Amino acid sequence: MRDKQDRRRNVTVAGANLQRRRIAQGSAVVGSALLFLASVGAAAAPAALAPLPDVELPSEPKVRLGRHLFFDKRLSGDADRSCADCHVPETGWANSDPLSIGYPGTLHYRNAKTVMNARFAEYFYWDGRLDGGNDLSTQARDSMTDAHFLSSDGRVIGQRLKNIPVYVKLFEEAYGKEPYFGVIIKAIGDFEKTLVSKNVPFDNFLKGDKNALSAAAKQGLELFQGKANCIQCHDGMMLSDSKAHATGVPVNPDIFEVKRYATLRAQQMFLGTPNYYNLKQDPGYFAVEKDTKYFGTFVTPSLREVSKTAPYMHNGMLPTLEAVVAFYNDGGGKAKNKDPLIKPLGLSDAEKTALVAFLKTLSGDDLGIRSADYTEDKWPQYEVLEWVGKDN
Amino acid sequence: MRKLIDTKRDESGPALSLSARVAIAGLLLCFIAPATAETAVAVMKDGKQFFEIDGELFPALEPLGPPPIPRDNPQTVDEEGWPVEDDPKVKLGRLLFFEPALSGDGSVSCQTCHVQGAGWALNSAISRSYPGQSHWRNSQSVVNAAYMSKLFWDGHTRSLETQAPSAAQGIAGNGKVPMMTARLQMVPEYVEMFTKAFGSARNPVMDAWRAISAFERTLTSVDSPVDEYLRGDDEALDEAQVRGLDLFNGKARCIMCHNGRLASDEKFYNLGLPRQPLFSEIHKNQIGFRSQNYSAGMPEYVFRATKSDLGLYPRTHNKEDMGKFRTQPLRYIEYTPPYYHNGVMDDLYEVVEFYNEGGGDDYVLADFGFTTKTDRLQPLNLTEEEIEDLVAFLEGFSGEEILIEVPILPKPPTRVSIK
Repeated sequence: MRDKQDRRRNVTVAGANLQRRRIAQGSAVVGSALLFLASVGAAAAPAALAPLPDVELPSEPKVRLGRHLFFDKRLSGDADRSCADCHVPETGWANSDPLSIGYPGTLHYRNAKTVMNARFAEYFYWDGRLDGGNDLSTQARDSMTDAHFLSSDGRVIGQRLKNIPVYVKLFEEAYGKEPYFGVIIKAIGDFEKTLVSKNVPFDNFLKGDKNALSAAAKQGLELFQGKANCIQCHDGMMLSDSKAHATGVPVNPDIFEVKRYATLRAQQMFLGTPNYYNLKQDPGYFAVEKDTKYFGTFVTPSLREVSKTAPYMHNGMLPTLEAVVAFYNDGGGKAKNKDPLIKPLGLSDAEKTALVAFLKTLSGDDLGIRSADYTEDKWPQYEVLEWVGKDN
Repeated sequence: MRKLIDTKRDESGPALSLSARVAIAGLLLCFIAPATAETAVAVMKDGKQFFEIDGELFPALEPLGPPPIPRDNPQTVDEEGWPVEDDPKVKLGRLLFFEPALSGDGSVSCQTCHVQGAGWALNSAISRSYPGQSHWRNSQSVVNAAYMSKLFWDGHTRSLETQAPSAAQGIAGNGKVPMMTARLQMVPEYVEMFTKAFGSARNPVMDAWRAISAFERTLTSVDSPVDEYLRGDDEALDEAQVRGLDLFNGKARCIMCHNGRLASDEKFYNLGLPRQPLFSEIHKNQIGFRSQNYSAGMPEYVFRATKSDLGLYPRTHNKEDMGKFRTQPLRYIEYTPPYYHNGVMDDLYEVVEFYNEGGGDDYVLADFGFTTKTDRLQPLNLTEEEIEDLVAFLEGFSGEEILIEVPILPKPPTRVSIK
């Protein structure tokens, strides 16, 4: 009855969105029937594409601390995985493997999404199981504690960091606190708030620089909003409607590798997905709604930074942007509940090329953060605490 | 020398009066070994033997019979009540005891910390943890754990069935139930074995703890010289050991806590054990120690000040419990050094000498300004010979080493096929 899908609306400013969400949730009981009627009617007109807004960034000490933590494998149970293992700066803050790695002894069954611009996302993860709204700390919390991500106990990690004097100092400078789980995830979230695309050609174009896009890219933009109808789902500032759709992407056969399937089954069991034991494909957003109409649907990903985050789709089945455009040109794949908006497009080769050219204008400058600067030998080191007789 | 204290179960007549026993012993001993005189004071009450120390009665040691089997986890036993190995749960549990899938990263199994070649414990002061982490207490033997009603050094679980998950899902294994469930269900042999033992493989993790417990109930050591002696075999202990037994029951005051069938009263005491120096020296041990204390939710001033294990306190948050640990049973100890919750003593001589001095300085007193150390400990004035006799007796608590063939674990297929 309380259909999360129907509460989704496009974002313009993250803060305003958060406020509106509260209102929507608060009036859900009264308003749900009305919203439901709205959702089954004609598709809403897509929101206009818009540039990313200027945002206020957390203070430098917070960002510096969070950046160190983002790369520190000691935040995982085994001290062998960091956020940056799946969200690699050099590959668009995502992972170039079709399916992501996981905690040691596990493998994931989905593609790692980029953390770029995550502060503007309305929902986190492919299945949209977490609310976005700039609450990056909650996403960090889940990724730190889930069995297939960092699988850590926040109480243990806090004590680890207390044995690293450099961190104790950084926490004090940034937050005036000792390290503990609540501040650890806050610091990571604060760092991620700085991962915003800069100097994006398309945004510059929207802001009035008519030379920011090539002729081909301009043609691509026209197709995007016209013949190819991408904007029907990839709309608004994030080029995402934040809704779940089935596109019929083929199942990645690698999810049946035993370690990946174990993760799939374990997570779906944890999420309470009906019939989790016999899944022949990733159920996606169905795990959140438990309504079969959402089986195999995934939340529309943002297209920002898309040229850097190959391979594509929730399971990495499409290796290049060209493959993605070809996939949609063919009217998507096979799925019973495939979104009717997805149909053959009849694009010419030149039009396909133009569309790709446009997609490439959605990436900004490199942020200059390099994994090599945060390798283990550069981590702040553990030290032995003063012990007997100390109240520390 | 004849056995002075008869604890045969079939003894029905009244016990020799205390004074008569002492008198006989005195007469016998004054010619043979004038330095030793019987020190234990035996008392019969309600048909059971006790020893009296400081006006209190403590139940005499008894031989071990079959372990108790909980009604909610039955297993096959022979006509005398001993768990048999030919049981679907035991067969499954034997595999699962070695199964690293029952951990977070698939690298830690029960036997990681309970190594059969190390007395089904570990010969290190502090136990292991999952990679990247350290434990904070000494690993205890699984042998005869079946008899215990309080597991772990702070006795926080009351059955093997709840001990196993506490270890596998806690600081030892970091296992999460859904992932472990999925892993076990991937292995056709396990699915078959769970179905045979429990009727289905739908809840394999909960049932895994049951199966492991059933297996552990087969790991009993009841053939020690002390057990044989207590069953009536006078030859089972040598003369030194018999003298040691008398000291155990008397002058050395061991029986006050190490009594009854288990040689443990399963109560909690602070002995004034030394601190484990590793915690001052190794950051990983500090982290293991502090994360357990932090997770216990103790008050901040206690958390910050404590630099040694407060034992029962993190469970009860009762200051009187600071530094108290459950009395260890004594069987199989020959195989399980080092000793105590922090593995601070390497051999039984050290242990006996520690008690001979009346225990140690209480670290609770040093950290918090009050003591919880038991007043049962006081200097014993044991001679060198007596110490040797007592150690010889303690060595008699260990029977044959229990070693089993390491099972070959079934593996999952590389790919899953869903029909």
